[in-house]
Formats: sequence, structure tokens, C-alpha cells
Amino acid sequence: MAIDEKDVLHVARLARLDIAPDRIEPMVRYFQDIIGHFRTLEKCDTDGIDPFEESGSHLCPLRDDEPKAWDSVLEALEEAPLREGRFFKVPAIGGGGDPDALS
Amino acid sequence: MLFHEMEASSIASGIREGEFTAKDVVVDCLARMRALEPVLNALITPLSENALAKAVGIDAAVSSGKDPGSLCGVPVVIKDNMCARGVRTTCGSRILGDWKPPYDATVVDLLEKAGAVVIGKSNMDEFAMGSSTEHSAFGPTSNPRDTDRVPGGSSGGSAASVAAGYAPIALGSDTGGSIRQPAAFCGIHGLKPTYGLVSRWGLVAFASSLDQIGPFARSVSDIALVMDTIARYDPRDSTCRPGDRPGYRESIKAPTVRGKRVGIVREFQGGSLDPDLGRSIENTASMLASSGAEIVDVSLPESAAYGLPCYYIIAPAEASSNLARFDGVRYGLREDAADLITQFIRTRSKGFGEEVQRRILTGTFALSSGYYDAYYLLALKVRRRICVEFADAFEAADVILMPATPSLPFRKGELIDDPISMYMSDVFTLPVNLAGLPGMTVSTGMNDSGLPLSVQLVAPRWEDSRLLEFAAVIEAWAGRPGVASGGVL
Repeated sequence: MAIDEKDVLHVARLARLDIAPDRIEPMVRYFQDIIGHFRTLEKCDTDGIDPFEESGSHLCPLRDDEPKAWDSVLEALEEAPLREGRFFKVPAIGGGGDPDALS
Repeated sequence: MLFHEMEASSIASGIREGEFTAKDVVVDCLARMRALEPVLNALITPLSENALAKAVGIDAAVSSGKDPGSLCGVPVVIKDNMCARGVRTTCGSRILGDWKPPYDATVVDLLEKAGAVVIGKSNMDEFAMGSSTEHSAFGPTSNPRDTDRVPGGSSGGSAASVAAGYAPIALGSDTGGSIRQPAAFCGIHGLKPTYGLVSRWGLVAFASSLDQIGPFARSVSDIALVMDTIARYDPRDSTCRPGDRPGYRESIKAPTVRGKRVGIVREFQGGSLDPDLGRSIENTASMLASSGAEIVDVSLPESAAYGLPCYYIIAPAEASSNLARFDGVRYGLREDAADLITQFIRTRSKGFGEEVQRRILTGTFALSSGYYDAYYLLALKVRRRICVEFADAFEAADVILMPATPSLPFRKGELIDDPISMYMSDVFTLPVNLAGLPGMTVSTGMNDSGLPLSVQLVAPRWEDSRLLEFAAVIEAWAGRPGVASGGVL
């Protein structure tokens, strides 16, 4: 498949990234190269393979469902760039100006 | 006394028996670090004051008759993607800013409870994505065996720290070779344990089905000592296997390979493999044969043909999901904007480096509508084939002997603009992660140019102690790696 600038910009939007104009063309070339490598997998015979089959002895164990206190909420909040009381503070999803103006 | 050349086990017993103090050891290792760090840049955050305070505490405990543990006073370096309470944890990225986690990773907690002294958080490729430690927001690390060359990656700072004598042991994480490849490049030993053997709780996730924490050291017995400390069941990591672990030091008390079968992988010999590394495999196999092992051929054609593309779909797919949390809301960098989505985009575009952005984009593509079945699901199926292929190989062999890397350490800047060639550095290590197996790089000395030689050993799941037994036999023959000069001393 041919990947072009439009595809790369679409993926960037999904990934919440902005590609600088001078990086778009190198990124398109990278995608074309790496997808060429990916396509070698099409030669592998995968008929009848269950991709989610667990290989024997290592099943993810479930721990006991016991309530536990998490006592470092305020400590974790201290690392937030912007907070108010016990909450992280962010601008409105659809816009709404300066986050400090929101309350 | 040159404490920075000593093994961890000798340091711990010397302190415990009053021959010298933890402070003596830490002062010597910190002096070594201060002398070499301007050249090597192996640490993002040195912790000199904390380390001295901890050492004084250990000495006080020993004086009052207490035993601080099996790593009593041993300096240790931790890769900067493992959380240490109150200590800046960056993952080699700008996006975490000066984030200080409010908790310790399980492995950090276990090391400190055993008396270890953390002397620094090490440099790394950003979010563990890279094979040279050149993709760090804190500048590249140099290889202490030849400072014009890279130390490998992504745990290059941890490997360089151990090779240069900052500490006898360090922790790294290995998603596709990030312990074994830098161990090979820096001329030391490095173990990626079986997936699920060591807790990942407090390790900042890159690709959760592949990541595993493990040790670097300049001796096999120190690798075993660290494993006896960190290989524990942890209910906080749902992929950590319950139950007891074997005694790893016990497994190397009287190591023997007599009667064991060693598989040589046909597809991994010759080709683009560096001739010196090919000879290292041949010489090691000859030595093992003369020590009573049987050398057999095994074949891993699908791992050889499909390992790399399979990994470079699955790992970036998981990374694109794991790294979605870095958005400027809860921690680290934040680029303000009038709406939330623009804030996400600005923060992530400024905070993530180029290689991380490439992998997030690749992973997002592989998981996106219309491509999920064609790439991600296909890669999961190929991964199953690789698991089965290794299981079949282990019907014929107890251990597989293969290269850790296709090349000797390359020069700084040599592959930085050619990401796909850089990915090839991990061609021999990443199939081992895909299959969840334990793999270990064992140093086998130096070539005529003074560059490090190595082999990689791979065993079935949970047979990590078998790797250590083989590694001990190889070390007895090849010699323990020494401390590197770091281009200065």
C-alpha cells in the first residue's frame, strides 16, 4: 500500500501529535519503509493460529479483590502542572479560554 | 582499596564483617563517578548526598549488630524509568519534567530493603526506545570501553555505569534487547529474566507484554545475587508469576554443563554477523563441548525472518497506548492552550522526542481502523508461531547459544539518522522477548582492537537458573570482565 502525507497526518491527529512541516516528508518515507518490512509477515503461514492463546504455564493470576486505602492522593496531585483542591485542572474540551478562568 | 573494582558480594561481606565501611565504598564509587561522568554522561540524576546518608545509616546498623541484608552497603544504579520515591524520574524524556513519583518501584524497594545504596538514576533512550542511548533528552552516553562509540541501549547508562565502576550492579529494563545489547556493547553481563519473574510495578511502561526488569554486573555471581533479591512474586503486577523462585546463587555453586545439550541456531550464524562475534560463538561452543556438553543444531527460521517486523508492530502498538497518558494533565510538562485537545497536542509534540513520536505514530497506525487485522492481529499470530518455534527448539536443546548483537559497538552518530538500521541491532534479542523467554548476554572478553565480545544464552521459560549455570562455566573460561577506563583513568 502507498502511504502518503494525508495518511500520516491522519495518524498524527489520532495520536495527538503535530508533525512539523519539515518532518512530514521524512515521516512519510519512514512509514513507507517500515510498512515494507511489516508486509514480510504476510508470507508467514498463520492459518488456524489463535493469536490470544496462552502458552501453557503462564496465566495472568487474579489477586484477591480486597479494598485498600490509597492515602497519597494529595501527594500525587502535587505533581500536577495545574490543580484545584483535590482535582486536576484542565481547559474545557471544546475550548473556553484560559484554564485559570475556569472554576 | 579499589572498591569500585570489587564484586557486590565481596563488598557486602566486607562491610558486614567490619573490614571496611559502607561509607568507604560509596565515597570511592562516587569519586569514580565524578571523574568519569563528564566524559560518559551515564547518569541523569546522581544521588551523591542520599547515597552517603544511606551508607552512614548502614554503617550504624552494622555497628549495632544488625545485618542490613545481602546487598549491605552495595552501590547500585537504577535505570531512570523505575520509580524511586521523591527522586526525579524522567525516562530520558522532557515530557515528565521534574516529576517525582510518590512511591518506589517494587524492585527499588527490594534492593533498598536488602541494604543496597542507590547512587544514581541512569541515562537511557527516551522511554526505552532505542539501541544507542543517543535518543535521550539529557544527551548521549559514551561507551566506557571506547568513548567514540555508543554504549548500546536503551539501558546504556546502567551498562556504562557498571562497566566504568560507578557500581558493581545496576538495573535495566529489556523490551527488545535493552539489557542484553548494552551489556554486549559495554563488555559486561546482563540478564533479561523470564517475563513474569520480576515485578514491573513502578516501571514506566513501554510495551507491557514485553518489558522485563533485570540486572547488569561484572560477575555472574553478582547477577545471581541481584536475582535472589528482586525475583519475587508481587500481587501489584498482574503478570508476575505467583510462587517461590529457586535460589539463583545456589544454582552456580557447582556449575556443570556435562550431559547438557547446547543448540546453535543455524540461521543466526554467518550472514551479516560480525566475524569476531561469530568466532566468539564457535569458541564458546568448543569450550562447552570439551566440558562435556553436546552441541546440536537448532533452527529458528521464523524468528529470523519475522522477529523484527513482528516486534516493530507489537511494541509500538503497546507504546502508543501506554504513552497516551502523557498529556500534560497529571504530571510533567504542560503546554497551555485554550482547549483540552490542543493542550494534549502541544504538550506531546513538544515533550516527546523524534524516535518516540515515530513509534507512537507507527503503533497508532497499526491499531487504526482498516489496518488492525492486516498488521497488529497478523503480528500477534506470528508471535504465537515464534513461541512455538522456540518451544520446538527446546525439545532438542537445553540452552540455545546465539549472538547477542550482529555488530560490535558502533560509532556515535553512525545510525542516528537511519532508524531502521538501528532497529537491526536487536535482531537477535527481540525474538526472545516475543516468546517471553529468559536471555542473558555473557561477556567473552575483547577482540584485538579492545572491543567487547559476547554470546547470548537463551533458556525455556522459568529456567533462568540454567542460564546462570552455563554463564558461570563460560565466565570461568573467558574470565570476569574488568572495569573500563572510561577514556580518562
